[in-house]
Amino acid sequence: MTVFLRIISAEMTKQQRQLFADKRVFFSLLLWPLLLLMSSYYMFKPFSLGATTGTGKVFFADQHALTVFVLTGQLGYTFMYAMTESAWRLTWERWMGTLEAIILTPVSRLAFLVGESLAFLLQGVWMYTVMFSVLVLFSGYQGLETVYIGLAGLGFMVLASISWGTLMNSLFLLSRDVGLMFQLFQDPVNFFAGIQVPVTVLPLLARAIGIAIPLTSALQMVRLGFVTGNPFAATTWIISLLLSSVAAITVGWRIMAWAEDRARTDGTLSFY
Amino acid sequence: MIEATQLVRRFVVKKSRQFRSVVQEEITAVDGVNLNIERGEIVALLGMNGAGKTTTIKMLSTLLKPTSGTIAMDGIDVVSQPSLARPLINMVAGGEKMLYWRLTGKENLVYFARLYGYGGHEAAQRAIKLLGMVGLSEAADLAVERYSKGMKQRLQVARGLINDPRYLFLDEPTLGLDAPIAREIRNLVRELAREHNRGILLTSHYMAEVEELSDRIYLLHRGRIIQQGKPEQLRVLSGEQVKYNLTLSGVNAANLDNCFRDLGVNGLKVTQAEGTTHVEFNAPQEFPQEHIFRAVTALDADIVDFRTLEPSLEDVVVALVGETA
Repeated sequence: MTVFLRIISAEMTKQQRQLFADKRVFFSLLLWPLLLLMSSYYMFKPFSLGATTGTGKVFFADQHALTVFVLTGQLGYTFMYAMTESAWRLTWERWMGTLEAIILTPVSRLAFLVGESLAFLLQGVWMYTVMFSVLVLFSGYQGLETVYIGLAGLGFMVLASISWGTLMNSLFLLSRDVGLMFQLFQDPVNFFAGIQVPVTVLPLLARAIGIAIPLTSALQMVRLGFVTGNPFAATTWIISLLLSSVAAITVGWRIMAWAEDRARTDGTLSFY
Repeated sequence: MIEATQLVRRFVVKKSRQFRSVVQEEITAVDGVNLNIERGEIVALLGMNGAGKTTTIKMLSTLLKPTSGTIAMDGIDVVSQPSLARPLINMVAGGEKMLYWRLTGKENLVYFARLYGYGGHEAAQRAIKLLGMVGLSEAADLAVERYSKGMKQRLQVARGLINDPRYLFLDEPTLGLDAPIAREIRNLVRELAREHNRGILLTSHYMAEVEELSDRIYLLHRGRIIQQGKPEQLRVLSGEQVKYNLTLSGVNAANLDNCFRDLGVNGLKVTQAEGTTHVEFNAPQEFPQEHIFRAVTALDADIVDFRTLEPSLEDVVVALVGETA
């Protein structure tokens, strides 16, 4: 376990030094999440909720509820996006030959994948804090309760992002066409995880797919937290988050083993 | 000891024809290679481009699976148990890859040390020691992007030693380096084998480097080992001849010509200038030199100057490869 944690720590340190040599970069992370939140907020602002009342299709009780829904979705997506960005970095590691140097070591492949994903934790937490503060400001929720929701939400998001990031990292080892791969996974996440559309309105199959994505459960728990004041209110979503996270990490780990074996067989590890 | 037996590596390559069709073709990069490396010795793998040197190194270093054949390393089956072999080996490739440029030299080494399971303090100590060994102590806290090519290469060697490997594979370690830096690296490689008892497998295009460092040479051509042995053995096997240059005094050129022809030497050339006679000829490696001295004594001549020029390893390799082709 100590070695496992050492590797994760080494991986995080390396990525931080490699990516954020200039600490001012962190401040740029203050700006674009704000712009994203504002864009999401104002996108839904002109639509009248009253138009759906009486039709039996009311999804949001009031403007606050809609704001919370939209902003939590954006927050979750941005957090996840930042954390899974590490997957892109693996392509860079391949180009620089450092991936080959890593594969040459006896390092635990799972620790390496989790470490790669966790490398963006600091960045993610910073962005989450900024965005959550804005969310609270816009939604009008106040009090100690929101701090509790915020902290619990951060935990959910971190778990969802690490597990998804681990899976993405392993998938990116399989292909050199990262741009396409990224789009292939990122956009469906946007849809199935209920970032802009409530998962409850999706068809059954889409909901089933959504449940396999850890972010779906994490988002539901944060949203429920705002409604009920208790982010741990729904046991089903907690179980769903844990199961989908464990599944993503396990699948990622197995894919990494398979990808490495395949690279050793067909000799593609050093192809850029 | 590392012992590779009947190593074969085939690749399936795809050839595109104007986007219309893809043709698959199987190529054999390594074809039945047998080699062994003892600890404390430097073994060179020589060959032209595409001979299969890098493929062989990648198989030995677990990065590539052989299509068939076995690799045993101190009792470990490298092919089926790569994770057991990895702590015992490392590889250094020529060029500027395999390093993190925005990290300092020390940070790079600490990172790799931690991947091998060293704790933070131990990793830092190890990094400092190795940086000193490769002469980079003063540049330890400098970002690698500020390093010269030679410094990067020395850092690569330090990275290759981070896990204290029993066997080190060096793939063109002095590629593109200036002569003094290349010499430093060669000295380091020699020290690693002689004083630290590492087994080293070296590939290089610089024949002088191979000649200077290696105890044994494997000559690869089109995936097969066509010759092996010590550099001097390869010289004999190649049939490349030694060049002799003699300057004699007090001798009649005509007598001398007849006398040397009787020795069976090749390319005999005799010239006279300012009271001395200059003799040039080629003779096989195994040609006994005492025959020359006996002939000179018989002619009652004095030797003013006597020089021999061994064929270079480059000549030997070209001759051996040409023979096979």
